[in-house]
Amino acid sequence: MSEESVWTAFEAEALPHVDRLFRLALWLERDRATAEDLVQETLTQALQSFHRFTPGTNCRAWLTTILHHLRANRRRASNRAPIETGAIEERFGQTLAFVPPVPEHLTDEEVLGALRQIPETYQEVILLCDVQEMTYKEIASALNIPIGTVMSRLHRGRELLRVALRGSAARIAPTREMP
Amino acid sequence: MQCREVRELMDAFEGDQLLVETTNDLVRHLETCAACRAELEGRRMLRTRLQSAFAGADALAPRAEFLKVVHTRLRADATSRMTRRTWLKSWGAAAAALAAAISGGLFARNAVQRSRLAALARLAAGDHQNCAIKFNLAERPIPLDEAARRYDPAFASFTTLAGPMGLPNGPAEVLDRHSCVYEGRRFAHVVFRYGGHVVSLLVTSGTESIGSSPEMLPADGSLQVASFSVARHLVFVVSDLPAQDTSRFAQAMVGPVSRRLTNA
Repeated sequence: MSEESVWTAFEAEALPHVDRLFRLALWLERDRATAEDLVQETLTQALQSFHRFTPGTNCRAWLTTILHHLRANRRRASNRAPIETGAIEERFGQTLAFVPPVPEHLTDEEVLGALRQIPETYQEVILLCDVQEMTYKEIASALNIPIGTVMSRLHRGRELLRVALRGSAARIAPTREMP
Repeated sequence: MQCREVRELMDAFEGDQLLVETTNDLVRHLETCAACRAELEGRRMLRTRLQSAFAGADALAPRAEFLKVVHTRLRADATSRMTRRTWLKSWGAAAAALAAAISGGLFARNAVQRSRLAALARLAAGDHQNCAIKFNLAERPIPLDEAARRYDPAFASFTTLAGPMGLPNGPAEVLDRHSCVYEGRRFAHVVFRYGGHVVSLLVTSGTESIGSSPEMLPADGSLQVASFSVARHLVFVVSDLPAQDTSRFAQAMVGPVSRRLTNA
């Protein structure tokens, strides 16, 4: 494939995902400049490696995987602790005796606020699965963890999210009866 | 299957991680248990809310200037690679001629591919019209499981495909799932009712690549066809809804359909 064809294909396949990619980066990094830098580096690397992308497969998942690997490398390089792992899963795994139903009336801000309340480990898998629409296999590859861990984190994360949402709903309608 | 077990398996069910037998047990339970159906709907609703909250948050949106800069830098990077390649090629006219031939070949190949996609879009529209609307197919449709055993294993993954959530005209109800043949082309066919219209989702194997984002293709008459490709399959959404609604419906199906085809 000629370089011009590579650019044309890259422009059509990869660039439509920049908005979602950036939103994910900004959510995880919480800093606009860092997120912009990370997305720029992700796209540059993706362009250089575009010959490895299989047309017809999930380009957004491919880009997200690159972003996560770059992010992990940066964290290692800057000696920052890896994202929280097992201990937190065990701690939260023991505390949920009741998972409340999903409240019907919530604003976008409350949904995102509740997501922020849960540990980053869980936020990440929820975002990759529910927002980036990646398969368990793709998430496992992006985060370098087994599929079973993806499933358990998703399960626990969604429960924690519902607990957090319930808190938001209770603040809106304190008189509403709990089922 | 008990409610407790169903709820423990719901995430895996949504992620297409269950065995076919377990999926069937779970679906049977859902058909008779309103509480578990409500639980599943709640989970799907939460997922849709997360998607819309994330996509709509102004605070998370990239700056227009950043997008422009990224595009410019990437383009420059690609151009500089092109320039280097051109320099390397300048040693002989033969190489240039070869490059032109390859480029011409690619163009021709793309043109052929577009033409094939347009023909497939017409077939999908014909199947929708003759199978979902007029029930007028020459060959009787068969269950997806049977078609998966005999023709394409990926078809089995559509036995549990549900309608998209969070669309402006309300929920989409599944009317039928089967595999049918139209003018020699076999499809997995899921028929929905959405906003008072019949919408077909048709999946067929094919190596033509149209990308993972839905694209509107030309179709005959008043029908609209949106298409995307994933894992060596082509997916068509056909309806007589306006183009924008058909495209939105297709967009909402990209995730669930891609997950199924990629894991099949």
